[in-house]
Amino acid sequence: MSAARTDIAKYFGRGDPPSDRLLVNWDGFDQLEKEDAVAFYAGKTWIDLYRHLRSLKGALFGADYRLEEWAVLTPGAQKYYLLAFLEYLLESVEEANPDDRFVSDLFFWLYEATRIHDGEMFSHEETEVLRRIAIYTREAVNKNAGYEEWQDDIAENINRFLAFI
Amino acid sequence: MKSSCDKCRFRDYAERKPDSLLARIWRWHTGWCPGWKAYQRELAEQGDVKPS
Repeated sequence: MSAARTDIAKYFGRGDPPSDRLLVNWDGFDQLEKEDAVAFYAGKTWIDLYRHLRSLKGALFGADYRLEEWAVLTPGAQKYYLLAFLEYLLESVEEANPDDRFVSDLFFWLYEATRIHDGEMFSHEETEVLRRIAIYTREAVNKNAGYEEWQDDIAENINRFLAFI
Repeated sequence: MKSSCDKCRFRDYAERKPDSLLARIWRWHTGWCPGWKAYQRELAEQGDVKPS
């Protein structure tokens, strides 16, 4: 998976973090969600987000991934912070006690982001990187008994994402 | 209870702001989420009323 790590750093998390005014599109829609998104993401680098995700490991109810807030960011901001989510995914997907909720939620929100932007959010190259990561993740989930009864559902949801992108 | 839906941020957000974008997405999300499916099974086993 080292090639995938190189690829995700090539396409996501590039440059400086988005300025506050570029985090969300203040178009009058979904104002409250966007305020929450800015409250969390403003001033954060993707590394800050990655550290936040790692800090949730082992938490009893650790589903504070901030993917809900990520969903209302601008496409540019989403791509910037996606590196943190993908790095955390690749780091944790094969663990004996995996973060199954994170894996499940990430592919749901990737599907949603693609759908919301009518399939135009990711370039062809970015889509191919995500496709490779999704296939790798599905295989890792299928081989890892640590996903227990969630295994089939997560693999099926990754298939839905793959069929959509 | 593995599902932990009673502590889910997304669900909490959707219930606090039922007219929001995230609430609409959450309803769609319940068809995806293994945790929600497990939660429904757990409630059924306990004989609880199915939440909306």
